[in-house]
Amino acid sequence: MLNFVYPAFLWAGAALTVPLVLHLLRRPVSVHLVFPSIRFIRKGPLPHTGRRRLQDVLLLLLRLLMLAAVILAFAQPEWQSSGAKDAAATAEEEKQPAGGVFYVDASASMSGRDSFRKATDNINRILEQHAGAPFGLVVYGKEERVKVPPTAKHEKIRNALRNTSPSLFAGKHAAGLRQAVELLPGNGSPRLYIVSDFQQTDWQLQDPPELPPRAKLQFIDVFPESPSNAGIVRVSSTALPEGGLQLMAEVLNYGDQSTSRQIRLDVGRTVVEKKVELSPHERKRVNLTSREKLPSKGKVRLNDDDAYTPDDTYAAWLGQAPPIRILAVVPFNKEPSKENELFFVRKAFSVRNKYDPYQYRVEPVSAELFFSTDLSDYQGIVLMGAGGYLRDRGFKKIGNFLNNGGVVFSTPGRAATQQLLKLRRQKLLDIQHNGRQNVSVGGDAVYINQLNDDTVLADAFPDPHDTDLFLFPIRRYLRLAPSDEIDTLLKAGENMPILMSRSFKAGGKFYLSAVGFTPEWSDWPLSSSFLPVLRETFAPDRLKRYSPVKRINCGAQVALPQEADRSKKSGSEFLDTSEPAVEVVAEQPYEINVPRSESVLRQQSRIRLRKELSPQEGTSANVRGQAVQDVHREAAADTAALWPYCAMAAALLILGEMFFLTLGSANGGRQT
Amino acid sequence: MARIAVHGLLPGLHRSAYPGGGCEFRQYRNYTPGDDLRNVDWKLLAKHNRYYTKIYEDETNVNCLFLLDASGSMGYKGTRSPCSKLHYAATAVAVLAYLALRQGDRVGLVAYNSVGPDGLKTNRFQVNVPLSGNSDQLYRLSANMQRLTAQGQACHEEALNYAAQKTGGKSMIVVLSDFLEAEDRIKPLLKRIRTAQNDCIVLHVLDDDEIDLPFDQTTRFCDSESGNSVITSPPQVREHYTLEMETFLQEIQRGCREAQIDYLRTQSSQDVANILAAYLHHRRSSYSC
Repeated sequence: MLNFVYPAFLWAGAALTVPLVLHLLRRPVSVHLVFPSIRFIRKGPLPHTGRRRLQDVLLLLLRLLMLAAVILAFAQPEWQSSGAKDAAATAEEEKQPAGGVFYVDASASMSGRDSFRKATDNINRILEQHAGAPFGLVVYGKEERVKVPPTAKHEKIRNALRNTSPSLFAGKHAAGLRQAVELLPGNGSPRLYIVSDFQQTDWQLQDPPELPPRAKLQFIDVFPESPSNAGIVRVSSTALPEGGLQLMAEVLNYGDQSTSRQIRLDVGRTVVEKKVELSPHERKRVNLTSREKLPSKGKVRLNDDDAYTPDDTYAAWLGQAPPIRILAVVPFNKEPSKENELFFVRKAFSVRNKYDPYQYRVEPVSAELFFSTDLSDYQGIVLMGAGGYLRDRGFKKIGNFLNNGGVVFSTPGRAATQQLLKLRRQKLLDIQHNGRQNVSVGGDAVYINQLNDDTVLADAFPDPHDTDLFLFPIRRYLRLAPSDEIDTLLKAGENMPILMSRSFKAGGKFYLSAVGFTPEWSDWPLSSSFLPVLRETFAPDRLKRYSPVKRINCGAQVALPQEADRSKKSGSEFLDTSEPAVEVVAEQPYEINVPRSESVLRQQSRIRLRKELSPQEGTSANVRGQAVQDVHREAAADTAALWPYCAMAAALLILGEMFFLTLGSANGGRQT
Repeated sequence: MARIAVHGLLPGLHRSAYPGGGCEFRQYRNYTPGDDLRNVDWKLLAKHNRYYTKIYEDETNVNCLFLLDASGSMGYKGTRSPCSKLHYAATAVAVLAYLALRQGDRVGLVAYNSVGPDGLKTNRFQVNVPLSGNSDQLYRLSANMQRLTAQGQACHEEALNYAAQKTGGKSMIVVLSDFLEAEDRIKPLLKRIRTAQNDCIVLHVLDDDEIDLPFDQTTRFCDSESGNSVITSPPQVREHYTLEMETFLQEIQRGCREAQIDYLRTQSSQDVANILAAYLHHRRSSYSC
């Protein structure tokens, strides 16, 4: 089977079009030349066109082949023989019984149709060939599954293999190989048999162990003969307003052949099916709709098994998204009137409609207690005039929150000057405060009159004149002069900024209002435009810290949140990720599925692996001469590097091109 | 610079056809009444008892007229040449004019082609700078030559006839041209110039490309003067071309030799100073002999 060490170089094949285009563009045309006198220049016979064209085509072919050979040489093709052949060849070669250790890959990719069975068969065959020789066994996935020290009683190994199966985790072979190397017998020339499908994502070894010089390495490849694999990459669900559920399943064909599969949502008594046609390496989204009310946990499946069955099933969360948690920081003691603001904000966030699948939860905290609040579970913060009462420590906390994708909305209070001073000192917002403007009773109130179309509010107010955004009077506001890095969303009066924002790294955003959300400041909280402004700034798709569902791989270590710790019974601090499932911890759903990296149908280069595991094979010390020869022989039987042939072909083609050019210039001096 | 005696008005470095009040002794002749008694050689009278009068060389200046071909073919600039043939010839004119003016000669310039100074096809020359020995004559020549453009066809007859009439004989006429397609016409004209006892130099200006036709690619050659064109593969006609060109050059050279005119072939890739220095050196040495 032909493989490439660096398949990305094959994209350079697009460069083959360059000489082709040049050939088509550079037609043989005569050059126009103004000459002093043409009296002595006679109309000579022109070069034979047909012959020249033939030469051109040959030259083009040579150049295309040369370029292709160079690209292939860089991509490093290698020919790999199948595992069965390897095992048979090994059995033939091994006349003398010798001990060794079998290292069996038990990562999720081995749980295909016949990979693990093929591995067991190969090991049994070798054991039969070497009856009486001591053999050990290490079956390793993400962690050790079976470990049998070298023994001449092969039945132990057979039993161990019979009673084990591949895991659902991605493999960590560097650690497993280290255990296998430790088991290698100390006398003779033991062999380390690596039985695996050599799936590429698993075999990117970090800090691999080094084989002892006397040991020999033998690869037994159990990669499927004609691999085909399709899997479900992710599933997301949306509740329909009229009831029921719509599912969007993303299906990917990892194989080189087209495939036709049936995708099926199977929850309780509800079954929804759809046929999906997939071209090679195609990723397709399939919609499944159910009008019935469904439980919150379900499984989506692809029928028919393939090279890697675990990715045919996806444990999906079908329930409601967890609420978006917003912390309202209120100076209850210093400014009791801010409780009104909390009321309006809570009211705005508590409004539900059937088209909006998300809900908000506003949790108030006193400004004095803000420093002790754990912000890790919150997606947004509303500072209701509380900024002036927070200490530097509190602002540092807010800075971290913003830099981790959080959204903060701040309104002014009595301590607005201190608030803006501290914000500038902490380099969160650089805004100059020019005092507070109060409109006296009977005076002319100010109205919002500008909306910046480049900001988040443009979606909520496509035509602001049709809403009451420009209609409510503002009686009190801060006169602010923001710096250049701050965007102004709303303006009132004569270019007076009312709502400003600044973006932070990782998607964090700080909004500052020059108007408080109480009737003393304006009628804004009483208007219908108040709700869209608030909800648009805390929209779920803009909250980087919010994920309706957390998708994790089997075997991943996920610490449980504190609230879950308080109610846990099992005593474990980590989520159970041993099997595909849907878990809900502290209202946060987790979709646990087998790693999709295991689905990739691409093998790691055996030559590279051999170099990583036994770098001494390059030296030719007399003591190890025989072993080195063996290693080379195995490498030749296992994989054959083809790039030297490609390089040689490229060199020959360059010589051929030079010959043609010389021939061309000799036959009429045609310039090329 | 001049090899034969020329007639001139002002004293210069050239020998005059008329013996006179110079200071360099030329010959004796028998005394005839009326000769200046100051020139009678009294020593010979005392020795031979016969009267001899001493004749001295008189040094005069010379009229030097440059005839510069400004036809279209002179505008060619090959790949190996730093400038066009016209530019090259103009440089040679400037060099020679400078030398002539330094020794007190009068110089003039006629640049000719079939297109007049106003762009119309007339018989007037494109540039006509009258003979003068003023100090600013070189500047005038240079300024006029800078305005020259190679165009039209060469009208050698008009230019050489004009030179013969204007100088009235015994002047120096320098013709700078590529003489393409003019080898038959040019011979009688040169003979006429020479018959009028003018000293004449022919500077045959060529480009390297014209000599060997070095092109490889199939080319459509367009005649710079007539506008006719021909498509050919230069490698296939090169041999024939070089033979024809050689015949043409020999024809021009033979014509000059028959008219006893100095012929100097130059290629625009060569250094004009070296070429002229070598020629003037050769000319001086042959004069001394």
